[in-house]
Parts: sequence; C-alpha cells; structure tokens
Amino acid sequence: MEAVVPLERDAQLMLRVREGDDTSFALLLERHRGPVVHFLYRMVQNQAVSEELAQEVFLRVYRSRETYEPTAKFTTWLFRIATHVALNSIRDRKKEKGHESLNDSHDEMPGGAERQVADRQPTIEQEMVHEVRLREVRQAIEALPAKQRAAVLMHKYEGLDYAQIAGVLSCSESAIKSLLFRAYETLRDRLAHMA
Amino acid sequence: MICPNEHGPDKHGPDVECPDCRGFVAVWERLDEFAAPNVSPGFDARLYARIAAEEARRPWWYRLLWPPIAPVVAIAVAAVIMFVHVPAGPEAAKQVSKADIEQVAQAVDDLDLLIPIDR
Repeated sequence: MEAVVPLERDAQLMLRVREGDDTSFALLLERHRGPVVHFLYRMVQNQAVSEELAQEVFLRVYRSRETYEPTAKFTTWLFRIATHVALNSIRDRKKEKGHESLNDSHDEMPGGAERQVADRQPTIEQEMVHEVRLREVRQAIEALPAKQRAAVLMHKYEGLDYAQIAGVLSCSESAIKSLLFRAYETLRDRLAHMA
Repeated sequence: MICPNEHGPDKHGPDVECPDCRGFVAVWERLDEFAAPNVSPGFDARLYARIAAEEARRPWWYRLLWPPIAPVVAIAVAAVIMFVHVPAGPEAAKQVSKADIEQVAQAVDDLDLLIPIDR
C-alpha cells in the first residue's frame, strides 16, 4: 500500500487560500516575506527594487491560488517565482542600462543598514574596512552569472537544499552541485585577498 | 557549503582539515558579511492595496470561476444549454422557437386525446 505523505504546512495554508481563506495568505506572507525580500535584495542589490519585485512575487502567488496544486514543496514553488521575477528584472535592467551596475547607489548600506555591532562601537577605520569588504562581497556576487548567483543565494542565505534549488532552476541535482561548486570557486578566487 | 569531498562548514567543527573545505569556509564566512535589510514596515499594506485593486478590476463573472463553486456553475451552465437549445442566430432562434412551440402544443393535444382512451 502506498504511504500517504502529509502535506507540508505551507501547502496546507495555500490550499486554504485557494478555498478563500485570506488569513492563511497572511500567514504565508508572514512566514516568507523576509526570505523572499532578502533573496531578491541580494539578487538585485537595491532595496526599493527588491521590495517591488517581492510584491510582484506575492501578487503572483495570490493570483495563482485558484489553480494551485501542491505538486512541489511550497518554498520551491515560491522561489521559482521569485527567481523568475528577479532574472526578468536583471535582464530588463541590463537592456535599459547596458552593462551599467544594477544598483544606482552601490554605496547604499543594506537597509539603511541597521548593522548589528558587537559590544563596542567600531572605530572609523574599522567601519571603513568593513565598508570595503562588504562592497567587494557584493561586487563578487553581482559579477556571477545570474543563475549561479541565484543558486548561491538560495543555498547560502535561504538554506535551500540541492533538490529544492534544482526544482527552482529546473536542473538536476548533480547539475546544481556542479553549478554551486563553480560559483563558490569563482567567489573564492575573487575574495581570496580578503582572507 | 560545497566541496569536492562533500564537506561543509555546516557539518564541520572549527578545525577544518580538508584543504578544499578550508578555502570554501573562508568564502562562506566572507559572504556572512552581506547582510540584508529589514523589510519596510509598509510592505504588507502596499501588497494588500495592490491585491484589492486587482480584485476590483476583475469582471463580475470571473468570480464564477472560483474553484469551490466552479463545478456548480459548470453544471448549471451545461443544464441551461441542454434545456434551452440555443440555435445559431437570432432569426433561426425565432423560427425554431415557433416550431418548438407548435410541436409542444401538438404533443399536448395528442396527449389530451390519448388520456380518455387509456381510461
């Protein structure tokens, strides 16, 4: 006899949204708003744009409620939408601005950056060193091909496993492992001098 | 984390022996510096406003496609089509309707004639 796999919590919530329960949509938004915005922020490196794109993602989720079927893990489905939206935005912006940087204010600190500082106040010199290191990390990530960038961001920051990333990017798991390996190797080379 | 030897800092202690892993652990730690900002406080309100605006733009009949009631609507529409027999054009509709009426009237008359015979 085939074992009945219980539906994951998010899929259950989404099915309730399909039945017209808006409270379940609010719960899904609460659970995934942060990860989606953060992923998009690191993809496009601009807070206003990332929030605009995240709105588009959740709008698409809401629009799709009527046809939603829990065939894949909810997170995989959600990040597939987010990645699609991000890659479209990157492509459109490249078209608009040539190869100019995606971020108009590359020096913008993340989030008006309420950076968590340890116990003591950093000196101006430490602050400057941090700024330089952060800029280099951002540039190294931005320089990755879009698909590698998406894979690294989902793997490193959002905790998605190989299978989920493979689902998002419509690749095999082995292709994702190889893609991630190449991406981390590139990052290692670019950031080696910072070690 | 990824390493040709399938190691990773999430599975390693602080003492990383694999040289490949050591390199990747350094990258992993560098990447930790790239913090993301907090989501703006008005994010949800903006989203719900967009959803409401989109819902308001939908035509009234779109609500009939909502899955919980869609099968009922489909059955109702099918029933109407089966019983009404909508013909191709308005002229044809008039002609067929007249013919139908005459046919039904004739059938009722025939029935009236048959009833006394059965009794």
